[in-house]
Amino acid sequence: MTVLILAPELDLSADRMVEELRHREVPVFRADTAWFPAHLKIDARLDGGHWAGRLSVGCRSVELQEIRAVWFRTPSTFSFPDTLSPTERQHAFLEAKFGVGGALGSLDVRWVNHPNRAAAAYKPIQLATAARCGMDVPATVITNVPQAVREFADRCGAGRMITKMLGANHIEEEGVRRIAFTRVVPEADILDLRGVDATAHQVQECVRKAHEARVIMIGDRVFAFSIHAGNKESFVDFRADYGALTYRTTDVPPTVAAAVRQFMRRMGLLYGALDFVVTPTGRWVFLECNPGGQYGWLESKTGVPLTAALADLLAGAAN
Amino acid sequence: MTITWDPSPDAHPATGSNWAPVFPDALASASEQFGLGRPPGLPAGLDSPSARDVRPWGLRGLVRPEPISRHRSGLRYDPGRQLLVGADGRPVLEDRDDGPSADSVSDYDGDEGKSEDWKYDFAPDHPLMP
Repeated sequence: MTVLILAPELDLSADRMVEELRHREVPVFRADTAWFPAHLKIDARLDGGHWAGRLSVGCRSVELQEIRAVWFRTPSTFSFPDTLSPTERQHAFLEAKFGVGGALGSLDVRWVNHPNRAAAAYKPIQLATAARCGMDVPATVITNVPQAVREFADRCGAGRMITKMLGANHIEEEGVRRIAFTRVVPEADILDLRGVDATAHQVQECVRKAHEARVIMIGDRVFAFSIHAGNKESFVDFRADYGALTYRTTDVPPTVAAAVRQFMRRMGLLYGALDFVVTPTGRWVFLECNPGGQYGWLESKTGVPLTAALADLLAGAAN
Repeated sequence: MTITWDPSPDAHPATGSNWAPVFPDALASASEQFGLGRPPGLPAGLDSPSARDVRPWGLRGLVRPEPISRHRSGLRYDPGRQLLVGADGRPVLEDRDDGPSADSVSDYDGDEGKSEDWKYDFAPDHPLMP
């Protein structure tokens, strides 16, 4: 009864999980989809209502019917040789996606998380769902109307409106990578709203903050960490300067914990890293949930055994 | 919009037994049902920023991350042990008393994985065409 880990090669959290499961004598098969088709082989056949057969890498292999849990750590996209034309490459990619993705995705096992939970990546859905579950959420506008941004900025007050990406928080231009951290919109950018009409934008009220908190949900277990910023940049967005942060374990108010559990059920997630602002009065305001959010650094900083908790979840299905 | 998947607490796999994924996500394209990440080693794009009149407003304030890398040379994936090892063959984890850490990333992908600046599906069904 094997745990399948789908993860990139460079993923030390996956390394740690392999060691943890091995220590528990739980069979592990780890692969990256980037190894397909050169090194990762699939030989699947339909057997009644299930896919049977084998997944193999070199001399290692796993029978699909032996898999009891899958840890999906955003494996890398398939890799095809340069000898293919762009058209052939696109064809090969789609065949791989529907073939490998379909056969694996239909495994009736515990997924952490199943990749088809794409809606969890849509922040507007997250915010609406969180609010329905009873969580406090920031006042938010999504628009491509400059006047709507201007009016919202007026309502928020001077220096009290932030903007953040709805999708990926980085782009690549001129050969370099650039990151868009959450930022307080400066007055100059409110006066000059050119480009708002170019696409959808998200602006939010800047919630008064004592500190941030990250809640790691593993199954029904709740682990919470307060994140304290040491400078201005990390106070707005803690990802802006990890070196300026300090961490403490903390308790989640029971009403928030109950709402988070309901949120996870509604989104179909078994794992999630949820970010909150904790206000000076102790109110927890939901910002977003990352279905593949990192936890390893929090485990390292605080000693909370998150890998073991995740292994409990994965191995519980495998045992 | 009504979100219709897993409407019942009983459907939660942490509290029940196995569950059957049936691709219920109406918002996801067919490809996104099995979203995959950026392949390693891909060079950054070379596009130039557009004029201020047309460039999305949200792209103001971008920062270029400081390159941070504590990775040793000679790292390789050991398919037998299924983890990353150094040139000496020892697991990288053994050499790190702090374990995986988001503040020891290279190019902000994170050596734990790539989720903090995650793009849901690196290679969708219909890539953007020029």
